[in-house]
Amino acid sequence: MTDAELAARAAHGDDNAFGQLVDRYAPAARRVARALLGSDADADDAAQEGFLSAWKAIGRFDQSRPFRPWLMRIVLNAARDAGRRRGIRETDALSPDAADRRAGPDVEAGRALLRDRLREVLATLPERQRVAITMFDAEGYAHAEIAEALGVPEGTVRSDVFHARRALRADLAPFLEDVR
Amino acid sequence: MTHDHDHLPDEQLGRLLRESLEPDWHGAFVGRVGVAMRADAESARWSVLAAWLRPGLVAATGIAVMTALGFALLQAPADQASFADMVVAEGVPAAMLAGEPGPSNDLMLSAVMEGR
Repeated sequence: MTDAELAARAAHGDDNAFGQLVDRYAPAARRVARALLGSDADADDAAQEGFLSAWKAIGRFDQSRPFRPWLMRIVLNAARDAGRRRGIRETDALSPDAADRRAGPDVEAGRALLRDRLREVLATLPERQRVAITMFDAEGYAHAEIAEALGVPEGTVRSDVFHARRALRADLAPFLEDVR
Repeated sequence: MTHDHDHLPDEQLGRLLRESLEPDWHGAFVGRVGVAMRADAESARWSVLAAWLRPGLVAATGIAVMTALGFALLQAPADQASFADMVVAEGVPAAMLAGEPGPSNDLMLSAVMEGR
């Protein structure tokens, strides 16, 4: 069943239909929330809050429009609210040992190290770039969909993805060579 | 090789991002959202009831007061009729309440005729 069909059923009070949408989009929503918030627990709280908000607002969803950018916009708003409540900074300083780990990646643990490092570097990017690169490269959203979710022009999304990639690749270059 | 300016997703970065941000316990998360939805629906029902509680109590009190007043008004004529009985019961002579009967019309007429 398509997103539109499930959303239409959910709008008429079919909670199971909305449950299928949650099942379908929970992984992406949680990953994007993690990219934005850093903390897994906070991200899951925010993703849940986002799904709840979407469930309450499903009756107002314009079914002529795509569902997933609409949903992701709500999840992003919930994550931003959570971030404001938590008082996070836009960018976190790198941990002191990050540079050391960058200097000599162990091939054995390279991948695990890379994942950790990636999250650290991701946390240093501006919020919009974090969301844009995660939605585009990891989740396969189109620029237009991300633009709709973020409420910015499509060109801004392209620019954000470009800068985020450049920053990540510059920092992760030694790791990326190992895992290529 | 993927370039920054590509319009396609960067597969290597994308895979790494997914691995790095991969959430676990998908089923548990979906279940948790379902529980939250039910709890929210239940809370919403109680909120509706709570919102109606205060005006409901006011309305019920108003109805009770109006009913009591109406009942009292209906009872009022019967109470007035029994006033004399109540006074008698308190010991007031019945003669005081009954009073002397006034002169008859014939007596009044003859008095007037004699005075002429």
